[in-house]
Amino acid sequence: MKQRFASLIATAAAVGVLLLGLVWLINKDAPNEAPAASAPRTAASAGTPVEPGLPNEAGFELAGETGSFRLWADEVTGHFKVESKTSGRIWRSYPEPAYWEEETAGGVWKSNFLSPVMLEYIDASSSKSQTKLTNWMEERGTIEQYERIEGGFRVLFRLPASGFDIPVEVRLAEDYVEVKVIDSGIQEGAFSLLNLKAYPQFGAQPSKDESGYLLLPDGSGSLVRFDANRSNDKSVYREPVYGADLAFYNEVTNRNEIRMPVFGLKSGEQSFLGVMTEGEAYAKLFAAPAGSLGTSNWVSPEWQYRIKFFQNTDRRGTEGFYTFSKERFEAPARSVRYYLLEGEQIGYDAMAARYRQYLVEEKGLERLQAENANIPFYTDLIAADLQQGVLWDDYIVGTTTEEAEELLSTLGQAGISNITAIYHGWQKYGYSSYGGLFPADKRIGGGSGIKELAEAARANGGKLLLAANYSLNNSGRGGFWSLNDGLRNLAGTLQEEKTGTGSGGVPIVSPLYSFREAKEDLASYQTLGVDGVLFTGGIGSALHTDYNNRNRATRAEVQEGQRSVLAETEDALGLVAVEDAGFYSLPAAKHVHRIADDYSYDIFVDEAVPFAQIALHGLATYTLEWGNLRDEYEEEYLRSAEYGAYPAYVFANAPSESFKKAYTVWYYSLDYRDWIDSASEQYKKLNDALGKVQDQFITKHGALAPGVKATTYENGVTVVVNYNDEPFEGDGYDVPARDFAAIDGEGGDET
Amino acid sequence: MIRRLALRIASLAIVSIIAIVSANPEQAWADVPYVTYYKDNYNQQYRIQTAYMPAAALGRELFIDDPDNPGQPKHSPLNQPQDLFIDANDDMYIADTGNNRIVHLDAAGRLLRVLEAEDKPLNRPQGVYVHDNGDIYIADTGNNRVLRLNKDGELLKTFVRPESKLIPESFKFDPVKLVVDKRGFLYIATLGGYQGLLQLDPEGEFQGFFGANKTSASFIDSVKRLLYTREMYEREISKLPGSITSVDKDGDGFVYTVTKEVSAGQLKKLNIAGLDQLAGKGEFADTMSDGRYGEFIRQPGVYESEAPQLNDLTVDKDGNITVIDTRLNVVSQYDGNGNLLFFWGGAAGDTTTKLGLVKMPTAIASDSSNQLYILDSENNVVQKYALSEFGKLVHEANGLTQDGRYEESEPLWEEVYRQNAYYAPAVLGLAKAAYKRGDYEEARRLFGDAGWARGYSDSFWQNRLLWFQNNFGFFMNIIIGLLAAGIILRLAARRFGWRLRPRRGEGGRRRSRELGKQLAHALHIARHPLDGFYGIRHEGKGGPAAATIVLALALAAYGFMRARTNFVFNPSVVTEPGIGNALIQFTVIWLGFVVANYLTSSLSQGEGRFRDVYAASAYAMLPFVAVGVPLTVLSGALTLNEASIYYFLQYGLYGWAALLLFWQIQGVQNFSVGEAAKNVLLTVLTLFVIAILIFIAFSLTSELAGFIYSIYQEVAIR
Repeated sequence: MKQRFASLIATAAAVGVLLLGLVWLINKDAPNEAPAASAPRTAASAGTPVEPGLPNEAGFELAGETGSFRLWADEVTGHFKVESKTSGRIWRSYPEPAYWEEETAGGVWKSNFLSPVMLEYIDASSSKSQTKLTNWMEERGTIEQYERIEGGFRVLFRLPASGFDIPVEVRLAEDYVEVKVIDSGIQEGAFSLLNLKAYPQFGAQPSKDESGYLLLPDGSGSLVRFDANRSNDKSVYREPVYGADLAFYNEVTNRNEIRMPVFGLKSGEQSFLGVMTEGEAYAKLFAAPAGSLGTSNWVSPEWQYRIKFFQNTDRRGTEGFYTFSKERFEAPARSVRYYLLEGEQIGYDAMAARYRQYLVEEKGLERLQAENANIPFYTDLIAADLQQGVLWDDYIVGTTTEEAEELLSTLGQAGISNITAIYHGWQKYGYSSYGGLFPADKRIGGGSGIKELAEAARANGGKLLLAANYSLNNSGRGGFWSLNDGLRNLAGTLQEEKTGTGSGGVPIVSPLYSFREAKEDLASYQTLGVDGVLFTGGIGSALHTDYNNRNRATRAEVQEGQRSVLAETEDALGLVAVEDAGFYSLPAAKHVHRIADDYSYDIFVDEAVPFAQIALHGLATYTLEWGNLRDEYEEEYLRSAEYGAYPAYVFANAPSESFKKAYTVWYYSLDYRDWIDSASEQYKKLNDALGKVQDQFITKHGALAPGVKATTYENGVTVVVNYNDEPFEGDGYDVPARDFAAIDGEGGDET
Repeated sequence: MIRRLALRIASLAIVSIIAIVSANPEQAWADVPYVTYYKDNYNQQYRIQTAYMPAAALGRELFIDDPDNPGQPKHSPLNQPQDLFIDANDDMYIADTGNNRIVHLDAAGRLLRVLEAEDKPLNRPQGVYVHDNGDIYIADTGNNRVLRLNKDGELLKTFVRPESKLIPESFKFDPVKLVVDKRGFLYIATLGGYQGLLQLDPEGEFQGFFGANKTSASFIDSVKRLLYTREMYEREISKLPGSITSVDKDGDGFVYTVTKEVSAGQLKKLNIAGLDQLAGKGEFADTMSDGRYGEFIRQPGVYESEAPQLNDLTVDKDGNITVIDTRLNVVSQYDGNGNLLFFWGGAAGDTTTKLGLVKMPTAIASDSSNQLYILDSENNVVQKYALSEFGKLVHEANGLTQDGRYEESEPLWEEVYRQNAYYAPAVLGLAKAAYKRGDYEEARRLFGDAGWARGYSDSFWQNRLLWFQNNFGFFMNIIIGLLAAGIILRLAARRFGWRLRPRRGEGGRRRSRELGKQLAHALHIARHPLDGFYGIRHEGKGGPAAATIVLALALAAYGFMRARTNFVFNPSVVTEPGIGNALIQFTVIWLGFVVANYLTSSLSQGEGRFRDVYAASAYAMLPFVAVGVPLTVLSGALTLNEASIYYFLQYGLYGWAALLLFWQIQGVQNFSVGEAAKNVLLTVLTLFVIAILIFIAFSLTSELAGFIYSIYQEVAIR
């Protein structure tokens, strides 16, 4: 009996414990469950599902007003339009209703065009899933929140099927309307957001106006002229702003990398310039000429939240699969401003002028002071490189510091003044030996030689810059060890750059490591007394996310870091130059070396225009490709006159053949004696034309006739360039065949 | 011959090492979408200026009258077009194969008319040719016929398969490309027509086959021929000569052909008799130009295994030949003698279509101003290219050089050279001009820069001759003086009883004397090899220390030979200046031989200890020091004319070393000749086995490591 009782108690206790455990388990799950249950959000009451279609313009309300524009907003669709007070011209965030009937696109693209938000997502829980394209209208989305803010409105788009909440702010200020996606407010459901476009059809226009065009930041800027696209070309433009990120997959397009976060569209008597002002490092620019996607020409930033990368599963990095990161890219906000232009000044030159104003007002750029009546002449000097030798690498001396002094004085005697010399490959073992730059190699003169060279350069009224590549390291100098300090992609694979220097490639340095190294070197530059540094290879021109645990940095952090390196260098040394610079480096960088002057030859693009040069002239100096490495010697010389670019040459004292087998320096004509005559002749000619406009902004650029281009500066000087084989007769002036002339006053009669 | 072999080996070697050029594609920021290269006769690739700039993309917007809706234009793009012909007025004729028509465009790419056959529709026409008199010939491939239309498109004649007992039964008349000569004779390339071009007279009568390719017979083939029955051998279809892919002709009556599936002679320039004018006549005939055409672009770190596959060619007004490659997508241009001028190519992304980039080139043509047109059958467009400033300059200069007007070409080549110091044709052009002028020293320097052995050798020969002539008196004086001195000395010695040979010195410390003796033993071996090697084993002569010194000397001498032999005899000086690998190979093979030899001989009752084998094998390397060093020095003073002397001495060197090794085995192990021969075989066999074992061990370990790593990764990540 007693035994029985005991067993009963034991059973009861066991059951009790089990029950308690169960209750605990339930309770434990409960707090997790509760928010999950409320994740589909309580506010089902707010919006009613939208009917796909154009917004009803009668229902728009006035949401903002400035001196010259009115912003009208639609509570039902979240769309908006901007109206010019003076002319009544309208920029819409949705397709032009007048031409909507003619739209031929079908399926999801039709609603993509109508929708204020379109996005791509993926089901991350399945490794087999494909990316899906959707939009707010297709999913019969709702507006959960609509409120007025100062100068505009805020709206929260909910996509019920895919489960995303996208908050967007639209604001009108002065002469622009700003569209901002608030990253912190984005909610994801079961799926992962890859990228989104907000108001992709802003300002979109079908090819009604034959003189209209899209402006792309491809190369120096390029135009996609409106045409009917009768050949059914489906190509679109989609490129990451500020170039590829090695941590992720990059589509091979072989296009020039985007250096400026701008784009534009002109049609009829109105146009806009788009400038991505925040979060642009995480953007791609998407542009579709008419006929590729719908009948309109449209261009829009595509904000990136996740990018696929290659997860390798073997050691060589060849086997593996593509997948997406779990974490979203976070930027405080992603905003694009649409600067609205109308009337006469609406072309790409006016857009560039507006961009220049933006750079001055918002980015703190200042007008250059012309210190010298003569234009600067840039000469890159190759100090040394390596080539394969019998037992070890042979050191090829290109230009010692003494020879460089002589070279500079020879240039001076040939009538070239205001010379900025840029010394390359001065570190130990020369050009192909990357990393740990100091001290300079003794064989080319060492630190003392550079010091003397700097003084000699200044004595002649010039400058000396040292070229520095902090992004590669194959020497191990400075304590660099690629396993610790190398750039790694999201899969943890060390990144290398394939060059001629070895079988494996050269390890790319972690950005944070390179910043430390660059800042530590500043004191050494100061001791040498050089006037500044030309950054090549990475700082100021390339942004790579780093997943090296010791130096982890996001793309935005790398961008910030580069800016701080450039700023500190400017403070310490004076002049910062960057090779093929991204425009984010601009406030500090005062010289952009070898800026792109051509486009990427996409078949839908019609021509290259000097957008970057128009924006820069008078704010920073720039050069095009080296004079002795031009593809077409004469043609590109003329182009430098058209683009207001200063001459640049890459020289060495050694005969050109010396570098035939060099690992990195592949330049096939380096001997300055071969070039001095033509360089001095071209310098003098350019000096006559550009000397008086060094600190002047470009106000106008265009064609006077086929093959005749005119560039007009603030002070009225117009440089007319004739690319044709026949002389050009202008209004009261002549330009000989394949030549240019600078005309004072209102000489150029432009059409 | 030997030189060519050496070059071939050298070129194989450089495939495995990295290309010199570090063309970083990301850095091309202001350029056309492709990169132009030149490849010198050592297969080294140099980046050069763009020779042809993209000019236009034509033929994208063709509109015909809509058949369903008359009066309305209808977009009618090209569809897999296969051939392009440009007539004297620069009008374009395109064989629009997929649309079964021929389209006629003007020079700006506007559609002028569409040509179709009157009697029955064209069926996948793949070739079109327009005669100087305006007659249009169409290879109507699908209908097995060739049509001749007059310039208004009226049918004049139909050519079908000719009747002749000279044509084999199996011959199929599928005409793809054709040209017509002045007389109206047709040269037709047919699908699979390995017999060559089918030659028809204006009446359609068979005239013969023209310009057939040869079969390539390899070693394997001769073995097969030996073993297979006749039926089996004949069934080997691959043994047929390659069938001609495309044909073109120039104003001088030469007929040009390209052939796809051959490893040499892809491009031919045939005279009226069907003889190839390019074979063996190129500028570099004595070096690399072994009749292979079609270039490939070497990227750093990428090994290109695919052979070029030429699809079409064009000859411009200056006789320069441009060929296109469907497989590698490279355009290569040669001058009229088959010398490479430039080649270029570039990859578009899958999603981009670019001006100047062709995805699938099917035909190429040139117009009256030497602009190039390439037909792209994937993008259905004609890409047009115009000569750049650099390209024009090169054409002009090269034209003069080819005509033998070297002096006139010199200023032009100087300008080219100024713009590009690595461009070998410019250096060669200048060198030839200097040679013609009689400035042999300059010519020698320039030929040396360009790496052209023949020219270098010839100018050196001239220089040497001059030098000898100038210094003849001086040399004669020295020789006479020396002879006289010798005679006087001898007389004096006899007179005064001097000893001319010094007595051996007896001083020095014992150890160094010992080493000296051991080193001197090397000389003894040179004179009495068998005896000397026997002495190493049984008389304690020669020791490891001295042997190591001899070995080190031999190694150094070998390195010296590799690095300093005149490039005329040793192209690897140019292609692979490093000797590290060569030294390691030498050491590894030598060590392997020592180990293997010791192992095998100790098994077959050899008497040698390991130290003896080591020492003796080291002494056997003596010829490298004794012959190799002087030979290397001498090579600098030899020209190709004396190549036989050089090669005789070089073979002597290796032969002597091999003999010494053999005697080494005999002497050290105390073997008879037969035993030694057997032992050599066994040694070589063992060497192979060791090598294979090491290779297997290495590869298995790394495979295993990779396997474990990937399993870990798969588990950890997925």
